[in-house]
Formats: sequence, structure tokens, C-alpha cells
Amino acid sequence: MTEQMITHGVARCSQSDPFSHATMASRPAQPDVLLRMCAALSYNAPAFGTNFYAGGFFHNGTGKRSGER
Amino acid sequence: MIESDAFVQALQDMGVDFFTGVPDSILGGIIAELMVRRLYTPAVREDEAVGMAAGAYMAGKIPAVLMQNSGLGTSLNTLISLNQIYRQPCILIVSWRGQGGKDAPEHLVMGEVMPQFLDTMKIPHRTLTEKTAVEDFKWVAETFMKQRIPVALVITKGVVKGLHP
Repeated sequence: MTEQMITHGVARCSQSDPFSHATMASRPAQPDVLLRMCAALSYNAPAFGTNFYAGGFFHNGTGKRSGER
Repeated sequence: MIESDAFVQALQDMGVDFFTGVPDSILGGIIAELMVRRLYTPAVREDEAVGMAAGAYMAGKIPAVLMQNSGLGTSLNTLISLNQIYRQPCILIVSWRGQGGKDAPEHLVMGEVMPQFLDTMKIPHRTLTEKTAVEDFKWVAETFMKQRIPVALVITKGVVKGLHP
């Protein structure tokens, strides 16, 4: 479930990547909301949240494809 | 009138341990008390506060989001496309601006339609009163635990002590 949620966030952040499975996700929450969600998760459960940041927030900066962690 | 510290303590006694939101005058006393207790993380928009609450919930927290009712409009997409479908619960502490048509003009329409708006969003809600406060908090806790979706506790002007008399 959590994986699908962040995939929604990634989908919104990387719509230029049409081949990622993330773009097949349905209507997501807005990316800024998902980023706040990631921040709260990361802050309150650092080990768990790190993956979310890697998959979502740093997607464009690292050149990773959507869904990669 | 319920004291702000008693209100916050009641939420903490329920297990709520993550508080965020956007300020409102009706909620001023509560937010001030939360800041004294170093429990409050301010947000710039209500939907972002709801997002933070979802993240905190996934990290094991019991989150509450404070906002005036206009923030329900700002949060609409987040509440129904994130919280509702993924069962990400939070306690919405919503001040009822525009209740009874007596408020600044920008609050009047939402003030009138808020109960129906919450019903439409399928968010269970209850309005806090001093007389029924114990039952109200109990209802919030039970609904949160059972349904695992956002639950709204509506605060009307003068029920919880604010910053100003």
C-alpha cells in the first residue's frame, strides 16, 4: 500500500517518463502534499522514510526512473 | 468554556501525538498550548498539513490537523485521493467559521454548507460542546480506530478558550 502511494507521488513528479509503471497510477494527490507526507514519514521513522525520499523526492535529481529505489 | 490546555490534554490522553495545521483565531488558544508543549508543526497550507499527518501516521503517530473550515476546501483532493482511498486517518480539528451567517463575508458560504460538505466527502463529523465533551472525544477516538479515515471534530466560537476574550 505504501509503495503504491509513493508511486502516485512519483507519477506526478515524472510525467515526462511515459514508460515507468508509475505513470500508470491513477489520480494522485498533488506532489507537494506527497512530499510533505514523505518528510513527516522520514522525520518520524528515518529508516523507513529514507526509501521514500530516494524514490520520490530525489527522482529527477538523481536520474532514477520512477519506482526505483 | 473548555480550557485550551484541557482540550490538548484530552487529545494527548487519546494518544494523539502529532499535531499540525494552519492557524485560525478560534483555534488560537489550542495552537498556543500545543506550541508551549512543543507538539505543533505548522504548515502553510491545509492540504500539506494533511499530507504531513499521513506521513506521521505511517511512521506510527496518531495525527491531528487543525484548520478553519475553509481549509476543507483546500484539502479536498488530498482527503479523498490520499486519506480516504488509502485509509490514512487523522483527526481534523475544524473551526466553524461563518456559523449562523455571522462572520467575515469570505466565511459565509462555507459556514453554511460545511456539514453537508463533510457528509459529501464521507468524513464523519461531530460538533464539540462543553456539555458533551467527554462523549465527543470518545466518539472521535472510536471512529478513528474503527474506520481509519479522517474524522472531524468541529469547534464553534467560544467553546474552547482562545487567545483573546
